This record gives sequence, structure tokens and C-alpha cells, in this order.
Amino acid sequence: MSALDAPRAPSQQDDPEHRKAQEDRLEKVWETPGGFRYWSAVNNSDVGIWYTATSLFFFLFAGALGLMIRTQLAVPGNDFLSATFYNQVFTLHGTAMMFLFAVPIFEAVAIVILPQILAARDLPFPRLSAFGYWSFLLGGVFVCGSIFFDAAPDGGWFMYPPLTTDEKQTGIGADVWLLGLSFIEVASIAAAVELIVGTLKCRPPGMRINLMPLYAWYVLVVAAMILFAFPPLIAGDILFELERMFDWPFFDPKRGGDPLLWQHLFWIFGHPEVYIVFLPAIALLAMIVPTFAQRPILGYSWIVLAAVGTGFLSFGLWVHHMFTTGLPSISLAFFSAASEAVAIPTGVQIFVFIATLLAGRVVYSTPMLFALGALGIFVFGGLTGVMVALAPFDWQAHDTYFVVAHLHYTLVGGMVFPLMAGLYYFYPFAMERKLSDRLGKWAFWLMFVGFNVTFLPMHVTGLRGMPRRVFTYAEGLGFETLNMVSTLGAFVFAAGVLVITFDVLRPKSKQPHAERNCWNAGTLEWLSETPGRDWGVRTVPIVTTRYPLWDQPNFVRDYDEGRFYLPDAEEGKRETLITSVLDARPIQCLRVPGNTFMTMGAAFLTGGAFIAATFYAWTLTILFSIAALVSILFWLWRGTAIIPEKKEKDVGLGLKLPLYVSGPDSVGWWAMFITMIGDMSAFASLIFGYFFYWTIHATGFPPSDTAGPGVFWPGLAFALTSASWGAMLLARRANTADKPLSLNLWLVVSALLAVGGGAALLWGPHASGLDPTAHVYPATVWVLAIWTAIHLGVGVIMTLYCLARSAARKLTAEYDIDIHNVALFWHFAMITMAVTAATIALFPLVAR
Amino acid sequence: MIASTRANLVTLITAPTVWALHFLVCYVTASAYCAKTMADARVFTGTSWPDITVARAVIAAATVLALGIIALCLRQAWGHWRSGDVDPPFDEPSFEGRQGFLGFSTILLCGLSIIGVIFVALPAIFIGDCR
Repeated sequence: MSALDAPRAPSQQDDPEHRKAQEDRLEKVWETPGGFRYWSAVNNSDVGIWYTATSLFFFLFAGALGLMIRTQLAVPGNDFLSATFYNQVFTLHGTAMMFLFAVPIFEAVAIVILPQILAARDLPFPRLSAFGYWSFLLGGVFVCGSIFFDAAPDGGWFMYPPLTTDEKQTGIGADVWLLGLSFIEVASIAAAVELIVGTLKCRPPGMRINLMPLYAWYVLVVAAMILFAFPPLIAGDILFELERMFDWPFFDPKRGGDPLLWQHLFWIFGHPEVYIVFLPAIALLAMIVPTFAQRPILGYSWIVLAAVGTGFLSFGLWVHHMFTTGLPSISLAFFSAASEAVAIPTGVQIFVFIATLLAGRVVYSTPMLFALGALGIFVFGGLTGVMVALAPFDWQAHDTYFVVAHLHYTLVGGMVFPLMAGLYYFYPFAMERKLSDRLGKWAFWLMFVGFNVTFLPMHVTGLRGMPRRVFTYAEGLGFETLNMVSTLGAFVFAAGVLVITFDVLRPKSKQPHAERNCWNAGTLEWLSETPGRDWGVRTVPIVTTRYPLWDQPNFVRDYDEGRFYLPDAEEGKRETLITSVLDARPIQCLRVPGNTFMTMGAAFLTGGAFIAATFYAWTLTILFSIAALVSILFWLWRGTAIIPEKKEKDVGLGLKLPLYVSGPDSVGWWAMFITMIGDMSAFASLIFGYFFYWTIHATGFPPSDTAGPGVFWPGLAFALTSASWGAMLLARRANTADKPLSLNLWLVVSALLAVGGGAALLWGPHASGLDPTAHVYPATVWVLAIWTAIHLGVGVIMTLYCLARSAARKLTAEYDIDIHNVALFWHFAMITMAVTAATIALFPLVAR
Repeated sequence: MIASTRANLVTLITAPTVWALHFLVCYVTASAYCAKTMADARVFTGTSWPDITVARAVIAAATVLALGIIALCLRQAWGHWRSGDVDPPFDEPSFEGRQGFLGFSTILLCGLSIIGVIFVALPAIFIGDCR
């Protein structure tokens, strides 16, 4: 146990004055800015709190919409809301709950607590988190605000065409949904990248993969799921907007399209999303249960099984939302089988929690109460889930209130209650004071009773045949009493939520600070001092157990005395440790960027482009896009791949670590790699679209009367892009050999070839006269060509960026992050080109 | 990465990845086959439903292959688990602790994947045509 002995050896940390000076320097470096500049903060503790507060606000907003729905349905023939406004209300209720609350709150909470759970001073890309937050805020306000102008989306939260592609039946609301949410999805993917790299590379030294807190396991799984689940929706959004704006007939059966493709793309996103929402909430329970059982979790490996297993299986369930679309029974049966199988890992987690509670001495408290309520409600929702996963039962229950009841049991039990448990549990950690136990218990019972009174009767309402999404119902159908009971319950539930809201918002300055580690937990986030300090962690500790605060002797004292890594900020820079993936060996001292308004500016400009596009204001869209691009380049130029003043730094305990690493060792390379995985899954969805259309066109795809783009132009595009890719690899080699002249030469060659490749690819369908509005085949070819050409365009911008960096001596043989990351991008651009060319040029030759 | 004396995150997810690929093969084979043979909306014409013997054969082969690969994963994971002679809960701060943890978790995931593959293959036993 030499690692444990090391901090206790005599050192300069014995001197209190020395420690005081260190603390002062750390405080100064990590200080939250005051006044107006407060909003320039990028540190996780600030951004995370804003993020959480904003998504909770959207929760209240969407909850108010829910109450409007219940008020309207309280009595038959009610005229509280008009039919059209009711459509907006229920659509926005679902949309805001899912996109503006359930998913963002995962990112928000993770940004607040993950760095502390890993004893990192910050996540590796704090500015990216801030960018994500501002994007989320703007997009969320835009989407929600639309209802005040009677312009909210009204086609249901899953926006099925052909209703929503019909511009006479759905107004601008559909565009608000598509563009506002696409913008937020981009922010979600950014957060996923941040969280994956954070979990894999920012753990404290010694925290091997088998010691990682379970919360981090869940974050890893969920963030990976986001990478595969959100891009298909973005791809779907692109097809959808192209149909709405330019009349490309992807979902129009008259011209060869198929509305079912949207359902596939939506639910390939939508079903995993349910687990993206559920798993992080369960992750909170995985932290809360051991604390209140006062013992380590039983079955750590089983939780990992459950998290990883659910992550995979959840991608094989999507068609169970489409059981009534007329697909062959055999297709339905696969999804039915997988839907039953996913109950296994889901159940395992519940049993692990129950076993841990049985084996420990349970301390009853408000968080524990919410946790137990969550388990009860969720298990009930899970059981009705097993019922609707059976196709014959689903045919009966589909689109009735039975499904409404089921989904609320899973989401409220699986997500809202655990989140409230987490709120009461982590509030003292984030805000330094405890919430009231008495109010908490009131809130719990109001919510628990109110919830069941609202949603339990809905099972019966549904089985009696009341359909979803109807703004009213006639008398005498047996729905009256049930609906009235549900409405009363909803208001009781809302009262509980109001109690919590009051508890959170009530002034607490007279209340004493919570004591440190007030729940006597064992994990690292509870090292945080009260009153809190801005530095995140005093020092980055060496971890040798799963619950260091319980199991490592003198741990807190050594931590407070700064006897581990990075106890100081001598150079006045924000720093954190980067460690290896499996064993968390320290490999780099990462300088993380500080506060800036640049991210806010970039987010608002990017948002401006999306919003302008909603109103079909093309000039403005283009101007905003250019401004957004410039602002992002400016941000990258000023804030990334900064050359440090020295090569190495003594991080304490006699360890020297490099300040600058590149290639696969660097966090930036990992971020690029992970982003491109997400990009690939969006591309795969477009390719899926092509082959989907091929399967449904019995007479051949391309249709026999249409000539495709031919082989020549796509072939030429492939050849030019291959050459461009090769030139990029030669540029990287030239840079490594420290030959700046030949680096620049190859960069120019690569950029020119890529321009040629993109142009040739677009020329193919143009030359053969493919009209994207005529039939779905030309539209699909055009989409693939444009997607690929845009990637080449982005590659050219990156290449020119490298050229400029080289000219400014910011890219050299020694400091070469940029060229490695750009070369990595080019690998993926090359794959995109190869697959596109093979699909549009070669596939028609071998298959009809 | 996949076949390795040291357990890692790739060996951990190999079995569920095999499940996912098996799932895709089953679904794509059956649904593409049925979509291609039924594009004339047979349900309205009264002709019989096309049978899916070919798709069933492909699914059977894919299932045998998938179970075989998962069995190999299981054997490897078993080796990882037993190599270090550590007991649950695998929380030693050592290579053996990590190896035991990853090995054991992989065994669990192999078990889940085997169940998943069999579940997903079952429809092909019971359903013989495109109805």
C-alpha cells in the first residue's frame, strides 16, 4: 500500500502557512466571477446549477401544461381549451417533459456532481458545457415560448407525418419543433462527448475501473447511448425539414416516400431515450441507497451488468411503438422478444437495491422515502410494460389511456421520484444547506398519493376504450368518474411539487450550513467543504477503495492538508489530472480553459441560424451561420491547443507530468473520435433510409424510368477524396518530421482535392437531372451527396485552420494536437465518402 | 482488443454487441424478405402469404454463429475471472481486482446475451410466413 503511505511522509504540506498560500492561489484561480461577468462562468459548479435550475423550470412549465390537460378532461364536453389549443398543450407537455426536462436534467446533474464524484476540478471541456447550456436555454425558451403566440407544435410529441408534413394542418409549430429541438439535440451530443471523456480520462489516480462509483458507470453507458440514439433523430429531422421546406417527398407515398420511415427513425431515438432518461435517475439511487443503508452496494458487478445490458437491449425495442402499423408478425415478434428480455437487467437493479437495503441498517430520511416510492411506482410501470410488450395485448391498448398510464408510471417512478430523492440528497452538496425534512415528507406523500390517484384509474379508462389525445369525450361512455378522479389526483400531485418548489426557493440565509458530509456517505463528492470553495477539490486524491471516505484511513485529513496531487496553482492556471482509461494512472496535467463570453456568443449565433430557418428567413440564416462559424473558429483559436510555458509540471508527490499531449493520449482526440461516432450514426440512419426505400419498392430502386447519378462522377469524387485524405496523412507525417513547408503544401493540396471531390459528388446527380421533388429516389441520392459534401466542406475548413495555425507557429512538430484531430476527422470523412459512393453508384448496378 | 489475456472495456461489451448484430440480422433478413415479396399489398389480393423458409434458415445460422461467439467470450471471461484468484466484490486496487471484476461482469453479460439471442430467435420457430 505504498500509495497510501506516500502522502503521510514529511512534506512541505506540514506547514500551515504554506497550505494557506496554496489555498489562496487555488481560490483565486477558480473564483466565480462577480457582477455581470458571473454569466461568463464556465466552471461545472456554476454551469451545472444553471442547467439544473433551467430544466427544473421547464419541468414546472410542462407540469402546468399537464394540469391544463387534466382540467380540460375533468368533465365531458368541457370547453376550457379549444381543440386546436389542446393539441398544442399536450404536444408541448410531452415535448418539453422529454426534451427540455428529462434528458437535459441528466446532463445538468452530471455536470454538477460527476467532477466531484471523480475528484476532478472540472470536466475536460468546460466551455463546451457552457456552450451546451446556452444552446439549451435559447432552444428551450424558443420552443416553449411559441405557445404564447399560438404557434406551438401541435402534432403530438412524436410528430407523425403525414399530419405534420401537411402545412395546411400544422403551421409553423412543426418547424419550431424540428429546428428548436435539433438545436438542443446538438447540445445533448456535446454534453455526451464531455461526459464520456470525463468519465474515462478524469478519474483520480488509483480509481481503477473496478473502483469507479456506480454513478460514473451509468453516465458512461447513458452518454454512449445518446451518441447512437440522438443522431437518428437529427437525420430524421433533416429529412422532415427538407420535405416541409423544399417539398422533398421522403414521407409522401404518392412520390415513393413512406411515413413509416419517420416512425422508425423517431423510435430508434425514442425508445433508447426512455432508458437515457431512466438510467441516470437509477444512478442517483445507486449513490443514495448505499449511503442510507450505510454499507457498500451489494452486487456491484450486477449493476454494471444491468447498466450495460439495458444500454444494449434498449436499442432492440423501438418497433414495439409501431405494433399497429401493419408490419409482418415476424418483425413484431423480434421486438416483442427483446422487450421482454430487457425486463431482466432492469429487474436486476431493483433486486440489488433491495438486497443492499436488507443487508444494511437503513437510515430513514426524505431521500430514502422518495427512493422507496420510486421503486414501488416503477415496478408497477414495468409490469404494465411487460403487458404492452406483447403485440396482441398492445393491439387492444395502443393509443388508449392505458398507455398513458403505463408511460407515466415508468417515467415518474423511474425518473421523477429518483430525481426528487437526488434533489434532497445532493442539495446540501450543491447549495450548502439542507432542504426541510418536514416539507420533504409532506411533498413525498402528496406526490405519491396524488400520482397514484391520477394514473392508476387511467389503466381502467384506457381499457374501457378512451383514446389518447382527444380534447374531450361524450357523456355516458363510462369515462366521467375516472377522469374526474384523475384530475383531482393531478392537483394533489402538483401540490406536492409546489411544496418542493417552495422548499428549494425559500430563503435559507438564516439557516445554518449543513455539516460536511451530512449523510455520512462514502464517495468523493462528499469531500466538499461547507461553506463551499470554488476550487472543486482541494487536491486530487489517490483512491484505493470504492468508498474512500469510509474505508481509507486519514483520507479526509490528508485531503484537507493537500497531501495528494495538484495541491497548488503556482502558475495561476486552472488544472486537473488526466489519467488512463482502465487503471487511472496519471498521464497528463490538463490546463482547462477559464471563464469567457465566447461560448455564450457562439451558442446564440448558432441558435440564431436555427431560429431564422424556422421563419424561412434564408438571408438571415446564412448570415447567422457564417457568424456562428466565425465565433466558433475564434473560440478554438483562442482557447484550444494552447502551447504551455513549460513542457512538464511537478504535480506533487514527486510526480512530473506533461502539460501538452496530442493524438490518442489527448482528451481532444477522444472528443473528436466520440463526436464522429455520433456523426457516423446519423449518417448510418440516412443510409438506412436509402435501403429502407429499396425494400419497399418492389419495382426497383432506383425506379426503372429514372437514371441514377451514374458511376463516373461519384467514382471521380471518391478518387479525389481518397487523394485528399492521402494528402492529409502526408501533411501529418510532414509535420511530425518538422517540415513546415511541406506540411503547408500538403494541406493546400488536400483542401483543393477535397473541394474537387465534393463538387464532383454533387455534379453527378445534377448532371443526370435528378429532381429531388419528383420522387423519393432522387431526394435520397441528393441527401447523401449533400451530407457527404458538407463533411468535405467542414474538412476543408479544418485543413485551412491547420494552415493558419502552422503559419502562426501554433502548430509545430512538437505541439501538434490540431493536425492529429483533423486527420482523425478525415478518416471518418473518407468512410462517409466511400459508403455514399458505393450506395449511390454501385448498389443500383447489383440490385433492383 | 477482443481476444486478449487482459479483460478490457471491449471484451466487456463483445457479447452484447454480438446480440445486437444478431438482432439486426434477424430483423433485416425477415423484414426485407417480406417487404420485397409482398410489395403488391397481398393482403388485399387474397393470394397466400409468402413463406419465409429462406429467412428462417439465415436466422438459424446467425443464431448458431452468435451463440458460438458468445460461448468463446464466455470461455475467455471465465479465464479472466479465475486467473487472479480474487473473490467478490472485486474491489482490490490491483490488476487482479480489475481483471476479476471485468471477467465476472463479462460472464454476466454473456449470460444476458445468450438469453437475448435465444429470445430473439424464437419467433422464427413459431412463425413461418409473412402474415
